[in-house]
Amino acid sequence: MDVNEVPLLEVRDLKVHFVIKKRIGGVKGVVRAVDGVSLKIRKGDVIALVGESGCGKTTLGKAIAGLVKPTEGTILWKGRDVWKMYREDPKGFFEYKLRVQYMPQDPYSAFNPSKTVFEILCTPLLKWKRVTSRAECIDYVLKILSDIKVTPPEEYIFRYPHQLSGGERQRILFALITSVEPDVVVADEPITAVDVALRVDLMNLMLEYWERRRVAYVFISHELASARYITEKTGGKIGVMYLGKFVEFGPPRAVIENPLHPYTQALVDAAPELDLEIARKKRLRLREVDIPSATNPPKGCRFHTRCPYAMDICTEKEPPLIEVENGRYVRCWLYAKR
Amino acid sequence: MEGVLELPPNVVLRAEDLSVVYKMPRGIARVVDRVTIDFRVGRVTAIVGESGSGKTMMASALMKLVPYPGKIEGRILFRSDLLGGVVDILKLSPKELRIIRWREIAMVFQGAQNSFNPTIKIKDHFLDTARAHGLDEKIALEKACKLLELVKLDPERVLESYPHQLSGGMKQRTLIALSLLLDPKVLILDEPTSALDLISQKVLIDLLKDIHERYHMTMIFITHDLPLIAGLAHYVAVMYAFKVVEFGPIDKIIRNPRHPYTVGLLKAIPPLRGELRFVKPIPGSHPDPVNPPPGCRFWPRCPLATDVCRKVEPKMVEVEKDHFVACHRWEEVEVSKLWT
Ligand SMILES: Nc1ncnc2c1ncn2[C@@H]1O[C@H](COP(=O)(O)OP(=O)(O)OP(=O)(O)O)[C@@H](O)[C@H]1O
Ligand SMILES: Nc1ncnc2c1ncn2[C@@H]1O[C@H](COP(=O)(O)OP(=O)(O)OP(=O)(O)O)[C@@H](O)[C@H]1O
Ligand code: SF4
Ligand SMILES: [Mg+2]
Ligand SMILES: [Mg+2]
Repeated sequence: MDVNEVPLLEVRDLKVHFVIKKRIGGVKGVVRAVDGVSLKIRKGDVIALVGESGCGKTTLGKAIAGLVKPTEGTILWKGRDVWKMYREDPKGFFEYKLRVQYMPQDPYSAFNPSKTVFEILCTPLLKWKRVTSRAECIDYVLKILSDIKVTPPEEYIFRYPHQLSGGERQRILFALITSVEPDVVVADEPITAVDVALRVDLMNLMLEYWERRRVAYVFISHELASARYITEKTGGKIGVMYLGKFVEFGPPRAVIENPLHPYTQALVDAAPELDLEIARKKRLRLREVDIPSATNPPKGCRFHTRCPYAMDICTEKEPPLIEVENGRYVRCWLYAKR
Repeated sequence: MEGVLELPPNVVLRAEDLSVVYKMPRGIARVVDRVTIDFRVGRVTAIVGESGSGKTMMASALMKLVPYPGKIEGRILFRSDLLGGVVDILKLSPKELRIIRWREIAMVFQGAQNSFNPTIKIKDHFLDTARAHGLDEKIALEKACKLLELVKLDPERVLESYPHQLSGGMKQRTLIALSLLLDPKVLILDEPTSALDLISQKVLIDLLKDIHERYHMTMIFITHDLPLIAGLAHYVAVMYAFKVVEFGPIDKIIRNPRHPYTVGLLKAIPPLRGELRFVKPIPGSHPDPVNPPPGCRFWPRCPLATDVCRKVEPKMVEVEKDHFVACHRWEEVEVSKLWT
């Protein structure tokens, strides 16, 4: 790949802070949901974001898709600043929003419960002018449903969201998101609410689509084995987030089999495994079980309050994100020059 | 007058021919269908199976708490200390039920972390439970502090908090502390980790392991995630289509599964390490409780199905010590040859 090629999407030192107001005037605090993230996404790249609840995965995903405005930093679409486009070139911004689609964490929020599958799937096709007539729409929707193996499609088009199983709902949501042929799909926890036995099915659907269209995925999950499955099959990367920042980034095998950051090590210790010998031995080695508040993140290395290896410097100075191997990054004083 | 009920010494709770039946306009739904299962004293038994297979219904039936208008059939034998012997839970009076629920068998219901009363403090949740079962308030609070510490929470902070001030993982741990308030000897946990992220999940699993080691409690852990309980459970019951299709010690279930569905479940889960090319989803979908397939319920999805499977329902047989399977072709089941 040409390193000088302009990426599809680039995130530069992104910060998204939420101000929490007191009931009667004044500011109670600032949540640093995303606090300095940089990332490049090229055609067909797959990046899995993992980390525990509240670490900023959804906020980063939404910012990538232009759904929340950054507090600081920039997002470039094919080299152009998207929030500048928003003010100066609405058409360009529209094109970016069309090309980068966000698949929400809560599938119910994406579906209007009083609309049938047909009406749901029609809406974006008409909105983004993919079809012009209702007749054309019917053919298109039937084709979409048989592509995602929701069969027989004629039966499903008249169903309402509550008449779908968890797996079917996610498939239809995926079909809805991809019906406008995006270049980047931000899939926010697509498998979390799905039965373990059906997760692979959904991921395989995403992989088939990737094979066909070389779409780029930002795959958000707190499930490490699934993050590995989707990234290893696509030559992608795993990004481990902690309190608004990447603490480790790299190819799945390296990250899982040889985790460098103590937080990544904790995630690997936490991930369920079927191997009974490993499963019976594995224990979390965190000093504190609960994550500190994102309103007031710890000074120095944000992980130091829970880290079993924390040293003096960790409580004072924030470690830089350094490249330890080609394409492998870690933010920890155990690996950085002091 | 019935004869005296009995249970083997190593069994504390037994469901016998247990069914849960709903009459609905579109037909009769047996959402638990003639299940027989033993829960061993001081052991952790996991009930696994996909969504809708009847796990919650079976667990609720064990406490005679199925949602109206479900009817429970069969027997549930329980060795009760407070009632002085083995009883059939389904035959108990409301008063007797009140005695054993919470004090002898406690259950953390699926999604219960969302059903905390948002207007009262955690402290009052503990006090309410204590009062309902005649436990002294002062003793209850002292105990609450100990239990909250046990589940790695700061008692002073948590007792004075309202539910919304706690994270999902903290709420779930609080619930576990609450369920232990009256020292039950059987604890039923229905999907206690499914809404939690992986660190909170593991914290909870490690805790349950500590609690089990400390109190040797009998636990029933319901989940759709088999790897999750690999390090915790001693026995596994695999449910498919409202029936238990395989039961045995976890080592046997994972290393020598004899039911094609169990093999399918094991293969459908991507491993954290090792090869990915053996990962295969189970094709087809789970049946509806009204009109399930005749014969073996798994035949429409089973690669080994024959005519017999389509017509005759397989019986549970003991294929090796303590390991039971309901499949006509269990002898031919080979992990490497199914869903290749
Ligand atoms: N609109 C908002 N206003 C205020 N705070 C917010 C808002 N959205 C998110 N936050 C806070 O920002 C932080 C990051 O939230 P985010 O939803 O991005 O996390 P996440 O990693 O997606 O978590 P989860 O795994 O629970 O989905 C959290 O502390 C959250 O409470
Ligand atoms: N109140 C009810 N009336 C009639 N049928 C019900 C009722 N509640 C659940 N069912 C049906 O009973 C069957 C078993 O449901 P149950 O909740 O026990 O499944 P489960 O294995 O616990 O699933 P999950 O993993 O989704 O919690 C399902 O087919 C469900 O649709
Ligand atoms: S009984 Fe037959 S259909 Fe059922 S699981 Fe065994 S082989 Fe498959
Ligand atoms: Mg999220
Ligand atoms: Mg359930």
